[in-house]
Amino acid sequence: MRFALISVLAVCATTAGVAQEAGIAAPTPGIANYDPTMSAKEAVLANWELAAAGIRAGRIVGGKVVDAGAGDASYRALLRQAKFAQKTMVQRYNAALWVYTPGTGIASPMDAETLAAAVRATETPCEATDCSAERAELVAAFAAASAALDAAARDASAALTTRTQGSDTALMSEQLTFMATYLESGVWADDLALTAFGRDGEEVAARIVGTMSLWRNIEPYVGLANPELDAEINASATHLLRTLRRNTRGTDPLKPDGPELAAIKDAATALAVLFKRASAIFAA
Amino acid sequence: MRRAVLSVSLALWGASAPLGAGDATSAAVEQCLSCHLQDDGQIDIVGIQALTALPSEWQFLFEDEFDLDGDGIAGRIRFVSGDEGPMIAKFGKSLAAARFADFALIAGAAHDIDLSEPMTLATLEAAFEARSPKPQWPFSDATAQARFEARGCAGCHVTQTFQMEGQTYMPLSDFLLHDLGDGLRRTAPLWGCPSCVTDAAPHSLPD
Repeated sequence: MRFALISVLAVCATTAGVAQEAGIAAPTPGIANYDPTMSAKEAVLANWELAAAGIRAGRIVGGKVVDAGAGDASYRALLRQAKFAQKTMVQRYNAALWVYTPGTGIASPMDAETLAAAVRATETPCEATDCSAERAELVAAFAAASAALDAAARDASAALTTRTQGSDTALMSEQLTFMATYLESGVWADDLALTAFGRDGEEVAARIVGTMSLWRNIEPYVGLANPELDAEINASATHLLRTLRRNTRGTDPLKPDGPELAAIKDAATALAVLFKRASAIFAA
Repeated sequence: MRRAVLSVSLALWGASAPLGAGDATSAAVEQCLSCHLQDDGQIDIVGIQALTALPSEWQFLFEDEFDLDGDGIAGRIRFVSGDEGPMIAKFGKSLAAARFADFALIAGAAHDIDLSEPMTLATLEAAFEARSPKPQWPFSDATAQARFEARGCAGCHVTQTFQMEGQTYMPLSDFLLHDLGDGLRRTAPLWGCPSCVTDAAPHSLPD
């Protein structure tokens, strides 16, 4: 029902050449008519929640390592838990890096070294009977990283809260602008924390793929407003994804002026141009 | 046999049903139970309470929407509409519901059962929660778990755990949506199916 309504309203909006305020979605409140389909506004808020909850997940698993370190778990068991945790911490934080795009209201990302220290601590083997020094280092690194992630998650949640009163169109336009600005800026290749561990490609990929997840949530509303543009964006996103896979897998560090980053930047910029066009659909 | 169990069960949940639960409520709940209730008096959906308590961050521990790590497994989170904002879906094989009540509404509509009255829904939820079997620890020993992991099952049926009220649960599911060739399907939790963890080839996976 909701989708039918969206469809009709979207056609009206396109015909008029301007996306009307109520023209993107019409939520159907009340559990009696429960419909899982999100309104356009909810889709944008879901993207903020994607970032906040993702970072929070990193904080939670990092915190579990700290808790386990204070208990009687063996260093080997602790290390195994920490290795799993740091993967989530790295992935989720980097996937959410777009929230630091100018205009979001969130000031600055965490110090790259904080995350690097946690990863480094998981690379420290200990075959001795007493691994108390390594254990202390691991716990301290994870405590610091968890605290930084906690602050980042709270910032993202606060940014979400400030947007709950926004209109569908304004939020859609703003979201697409952030995605375009972020991809075009190339900031996703800056301050890589894990180059020394051969994982800079993983960081770059996570940072860019983070915006693709955003696109999946808001795509239906762009698709209804402009199917051709929607198809162009999907093709461009697929190309960017292939480019990412081709150029970020492997252990060689990415060179700032190397062909791999150049290829990714070209593909990211092409997608950014399309996101800008999509943003304009919803701009008043 | 099933009808006898159903009567007993209805009598049991009736005691804790909201006051004023009327005939329409009873009929709707009975209709749902008539298919879900088993001979042992429990319903066929395991761990409703535990799944309700599953942390919303759980799926983020495993999500890899575009298979960035190249392990051949791509799983995605799906947000759905909620009362106070978007919520992460975790109920249903392919249905999108973040809460049991929403899941029931969707399933009820599919079976033409009217659950739209809040009291009916609350009664149904209470009845199902009370009759939902508690999840079991899925492995008999560490070797069985290691075998399960070695077969690659733990890629989606993850062996991480969470705690609720001092109890540790291993749902054996990332609760993500995966495309196995016939559309997106949520990884089924195996915490109520001990034989599932020993089944050698339950899936016929696409290349």
